[in-house]
Amino acid sequence: MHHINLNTYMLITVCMVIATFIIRFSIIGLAGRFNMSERFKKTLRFVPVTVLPAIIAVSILGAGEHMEFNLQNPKVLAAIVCTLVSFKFDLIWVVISGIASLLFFQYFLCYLC
Amino acid sequence: MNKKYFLMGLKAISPLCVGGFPFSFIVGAISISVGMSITQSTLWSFTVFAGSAQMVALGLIQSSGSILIIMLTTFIINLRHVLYSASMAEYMKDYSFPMRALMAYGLTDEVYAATIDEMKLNKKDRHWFYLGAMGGFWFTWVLANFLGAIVGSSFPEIADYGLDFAMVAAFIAIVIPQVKNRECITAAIVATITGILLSDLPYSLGLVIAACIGVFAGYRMDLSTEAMQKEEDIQRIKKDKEEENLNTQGKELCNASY
Repeated sequence: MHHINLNTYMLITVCMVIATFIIRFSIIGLAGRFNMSERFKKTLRFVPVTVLPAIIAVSILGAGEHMEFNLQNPKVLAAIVCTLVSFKFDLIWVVISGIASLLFFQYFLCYLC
Repeated sequence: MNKKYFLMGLKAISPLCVGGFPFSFIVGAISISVGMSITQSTLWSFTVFAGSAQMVALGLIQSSGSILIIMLTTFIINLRHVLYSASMAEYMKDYSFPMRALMAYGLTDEVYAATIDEMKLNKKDRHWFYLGAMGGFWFTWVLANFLGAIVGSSFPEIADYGLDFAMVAAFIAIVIPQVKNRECITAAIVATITGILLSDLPYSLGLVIAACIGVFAGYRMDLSTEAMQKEEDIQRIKKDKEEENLNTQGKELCNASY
């Protein structure tokens, strides 16, 4: 197995740390120097409800030509179970039911095939 | 130090740690296969602390991508964190510069999702809650990466055991209770559909665009709801005035007939 050059490793790490930190600190760093309008603050409540569903959808269905949007995809079925469970139960139960139902559907669908 | 808040933060992030663990474990395993040592891999996760960006960077290292491309890709993949940063800024603005820098350093998807509701409450020691959540996730992230680096390279089929689905399940549990009015429902549906349609775009750009379009859709819905409410208020005031006028006229007629 080849080993990564130490200088290359250091450079990659430093670049990635800077790129990540600049973004995360961008507006927090400026906080207090300008006042955000009420409208802007109100609109920001949409951030989690847009980013997370988009990540969920792509994680479940796959991307581009590998997309699998049907009930033969065990992740779609497991996500439906998670959604139903989340109406009544806490996060940890949703995670447990999600993994359990995914394993069940993977086994079940394999069995059907 | 407010121990109670710190532990509350740890408790809030713990289910998300379950979700993050296998992801970081896989990152650790792959990093070994691209030529990092266990120490390098662990230090990398400790300092960079950005899951999807690390995963994509490993792919780029494997295909001999240039440093500039790796940095640009990290920047683009993490662009969605600008929105988190903007969302958190209001609740972090009173803290010192080093404290804000520390809190921003660990502002991942999971930390944001687990802490935003508590931060909104504006309680005095809320930063301890945040630091508890961030510390818990950071520790889990590095530990999982370390273990992944040790044994992960000989266990590549971990995805078949459903552990990678834990993060998706955790996100579902966080989102569903938040999608409770028509504005949020619209924003979520628009972002999801756009995300699916643009999933082919490189560097997770589709996610950034989907989120922006979703937020814009939510903003337009807000405007339309406010316009509707204003219209209803005007109608109600008009109706009240008309009733008042009728009452006055009625009274005047009664008085006149006497």
